[in-house]
Amino acid sequence: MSSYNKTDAVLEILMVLLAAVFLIPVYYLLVTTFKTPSAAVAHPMGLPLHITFDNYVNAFKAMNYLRVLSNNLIISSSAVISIIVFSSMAAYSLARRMHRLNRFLFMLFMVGMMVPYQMGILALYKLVIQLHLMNTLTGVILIEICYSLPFSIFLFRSFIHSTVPFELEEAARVDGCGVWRTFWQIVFPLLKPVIGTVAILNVLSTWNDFMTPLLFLQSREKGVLLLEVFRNVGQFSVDWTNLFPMMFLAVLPLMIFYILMQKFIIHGITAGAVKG
Amino acid sequence: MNKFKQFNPESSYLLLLLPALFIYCIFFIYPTLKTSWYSFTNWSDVNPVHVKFIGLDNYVALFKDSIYMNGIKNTFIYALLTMIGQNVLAIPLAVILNKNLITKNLLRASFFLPGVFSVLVIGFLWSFMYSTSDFGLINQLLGSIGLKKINFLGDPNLALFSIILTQIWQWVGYTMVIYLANMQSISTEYYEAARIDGATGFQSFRYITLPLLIPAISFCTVTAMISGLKVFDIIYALTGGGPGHSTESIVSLMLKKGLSDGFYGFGSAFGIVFVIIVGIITFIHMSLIKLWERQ
Amino acid sequence: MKKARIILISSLLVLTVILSACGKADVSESKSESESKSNEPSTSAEADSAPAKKVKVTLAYWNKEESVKTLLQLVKDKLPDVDLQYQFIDNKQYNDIVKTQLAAGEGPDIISGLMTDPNLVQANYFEDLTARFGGKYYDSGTENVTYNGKLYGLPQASWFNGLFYNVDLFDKYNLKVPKTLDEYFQVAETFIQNGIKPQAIAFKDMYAPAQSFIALALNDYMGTPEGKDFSVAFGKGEMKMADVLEPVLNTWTEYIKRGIFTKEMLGIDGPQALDEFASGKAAMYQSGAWDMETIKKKSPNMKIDMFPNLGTKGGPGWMVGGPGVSFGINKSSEVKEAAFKVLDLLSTPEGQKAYWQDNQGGSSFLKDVTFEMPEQYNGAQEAFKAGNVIYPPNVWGVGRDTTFAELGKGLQDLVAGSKTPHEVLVAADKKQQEMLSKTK
Repeated sequence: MSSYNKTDAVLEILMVLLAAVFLIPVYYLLVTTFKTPSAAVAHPMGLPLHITFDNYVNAFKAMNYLRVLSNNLIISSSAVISIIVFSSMAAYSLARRMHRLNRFLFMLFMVGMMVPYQMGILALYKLVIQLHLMNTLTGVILIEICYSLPFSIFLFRSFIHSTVPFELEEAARVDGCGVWRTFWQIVFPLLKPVIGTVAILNVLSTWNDFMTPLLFLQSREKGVLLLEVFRNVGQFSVDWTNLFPMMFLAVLPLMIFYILMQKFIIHGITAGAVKG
Repeated sequence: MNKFKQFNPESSYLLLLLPALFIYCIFFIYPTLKTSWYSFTNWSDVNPVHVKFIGLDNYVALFKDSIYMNGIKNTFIYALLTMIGQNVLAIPLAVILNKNLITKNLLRASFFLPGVFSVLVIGFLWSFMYSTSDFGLINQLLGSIGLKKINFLGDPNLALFSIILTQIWQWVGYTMVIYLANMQSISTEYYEAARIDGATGFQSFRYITLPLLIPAISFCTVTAMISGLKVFDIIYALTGGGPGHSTESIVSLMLKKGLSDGFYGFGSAFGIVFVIIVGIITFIHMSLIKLWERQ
Repeated sequence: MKKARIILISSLLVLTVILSACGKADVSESKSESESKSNEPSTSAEADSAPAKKVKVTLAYWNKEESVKTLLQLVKDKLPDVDLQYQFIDNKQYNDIVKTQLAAGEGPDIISGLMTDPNLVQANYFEDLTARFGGKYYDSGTENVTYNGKLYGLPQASWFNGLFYNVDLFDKYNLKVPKTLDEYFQVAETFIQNGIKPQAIAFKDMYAPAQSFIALALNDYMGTPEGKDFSVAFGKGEMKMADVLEPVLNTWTEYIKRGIFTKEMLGIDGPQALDEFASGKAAMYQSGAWDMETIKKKSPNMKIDMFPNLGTKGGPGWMVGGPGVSFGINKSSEVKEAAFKVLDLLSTPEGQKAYWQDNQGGSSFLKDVTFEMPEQYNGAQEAFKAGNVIYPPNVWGVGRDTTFAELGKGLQDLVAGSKTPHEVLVAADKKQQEMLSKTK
């Protein structure tokens, strides 16, 4: 890499300015949580004059925060772990056995990437009722798993194809290792980088999915953060700034996750950067 | 050795595949097939019992109605513009943030940040910012520098573009990160060779970076296109399809007619047509990229 | 890699390789920590946490919690073994959400409103209330929710909308309360000249323009001897809006021509329009009792009154309205007995009063219960005396909500300038025909 020169310095300043403008909406979301409507209208961009957490305490109570947050955690963690386990297993099988049936099955999975699941929503709805999964977290978890499978299988399969050396598995086979043990002991540990990618993408998508909980979770005790925000839109007309702490509390867990894991997340998606 | 032979590996491989296949068939394949069947029937909320096979009637009705054609048009515009916007902005951003800037990690993280938020919250946030009432942030800023208010979401000619803008804003950082990954895999030797040959910065971008970015370009454009065609959440949060029908998308119309209005058979037909459209567009899109790659 | 048959796969593949190849070890470590942070992946999610003592009963409604707070308090005081949980669902989504819940055999225990939809009643979603409540309410309130002699909902105090006006602003500019549309336009002109918005209206919400238009249509056509049969005929598909309502809609466009309703208002939501009126930036606002609490909270000292929706010819004017929300019981509710207890309480003078407390202005349909009209509605007395309270879509059948919404969307287009009055009405007719086609 070339050394830091004048153009870089200019670029740097420009980029920092651009990033500052870029983040105005996020800043606005944060500062408005501390303001009254009149203060927000008078100085929309100013720092709050006095920081009060009353708004947050109210929002916290109104949203039944801990309860709902734990639902979110249960849904995302169970879904993501299952996705990793099921799709890596399936991808391994699809990558190592390329006979006609498996090629067909792989195509079948790929179709799922193009179809919006709203298409089959009525049939899915009926099905979920028949299976007695309506208004259960299990139902939502299973649906989240199902709609994350295609892309995850795709990522795992490509990775196994390109970077997991077949020789290793053959050696294991010769030593008397069965398919399952070969997969779990030899192959799975080698999948770490792509496991990271799959985990991140699915944590984001399951956490931020709104349609599935909206349609399949009716009772408030089983709701998720986004549903609470959604339910409260329109509830505050005069005190419209009351919605902001709710919105902020809804995005807060993922934001903390992102800030803590920021380096890892960007690397997780960009793993392999320093290949040369 | 003996043990290995005794055990049939094929069945083990099948077993590995089973959990995923099982869930996928139950929650995706089965509802999808069922939907194709519904699309040829007159099933509705008024008529839930005596469902009749009515052939292609639902499909014919769909293509006759200008509201649905308009929804399809909006969806195309949305998908194309978000795809182009995200990618055209993300590539230069990635080129710059690939340089050795002091704050590059912080900058990357900042641009990526909106991608962490849920589309729904982004929608509510921007609807406050876009508002034409007193507390609309953007119009307040415009007013303070003496400009006229812009009716971002209320002007039918503008509303769709206002929606598109929020989604470019939200996803440009995410797209950039993928380009960065690809760029960092390009060997620096190419650039050194080009510099020795006296190539300008732009030339080396045009003849080295861009062609080698094709994998990322195809990935980013295809995924942006497909998710653009499926757009729903952001429209729901920002305009609900209005004013009038000016920002209605395929999925929002499908849900409205198929679910709210209770035309289940018709809604299913709309879904099937939609999947075919997505399939065709993806195929054309991939073919174009392939063509470009060959050049 | 080149073996891959499909372009999709080959090109996506290349990238994935790049993306996921050789991740750094240290980075991958931190990942596993993040996983273990979250709860166990079991499906222990099912554990029910309902406390044994109180029976939880849910009530879903589209008005803010403030608008039923006295009622909720009454239930708390009088029914110690019932825990009534209020679920607010925004008006725009209410029908969709609750209908899908009902279709799934789920949903709130006490349901607001949907009993007016014959399809839902036919689908057997609601409990038959005849045995317990038949004859307790006046027929005029229950005819909407009675099918084949069976009662499915209990109507609350009637609702109506007219034009709230800011008395102080009217006094300040020496304005008299208008009696005809022309007088209204003159009043509006004065406000515009003084930099005050004459009327706040939430055009972003499609129901707002539809309410405004229906109010004018009541005065100029549907409420006249000539047009009084229109609504029923329209509901059956025997008459069309485009054939008779075009003159009315042409009159309505005067609002736009005179700059009272502007394109800019298409960006204004319900809460924002209400805020404009409550903070004195707009002088009038078409609404009803459900917004009164919010206005008082925002501006406790503001003097407001209401006059009826006006027409070109004058007269007592019209209120748009009808029997209030009906509460019914979800057939698949598991706590029906407790839900019935809540309805029992509602069917006492005390219960009626509690609902009315936060929705003051309407009259009760429970026999022998009468309320006094609060002074905020003095200006509307004449319309009430003339019996001029109707909500025409109540008799539009299957198109009750959908066609009304389509009409509103068309009016949004009209305000934006992308549709002519004729096209708006044709689109609404088409929607009504479409909805009717389901029943054939």
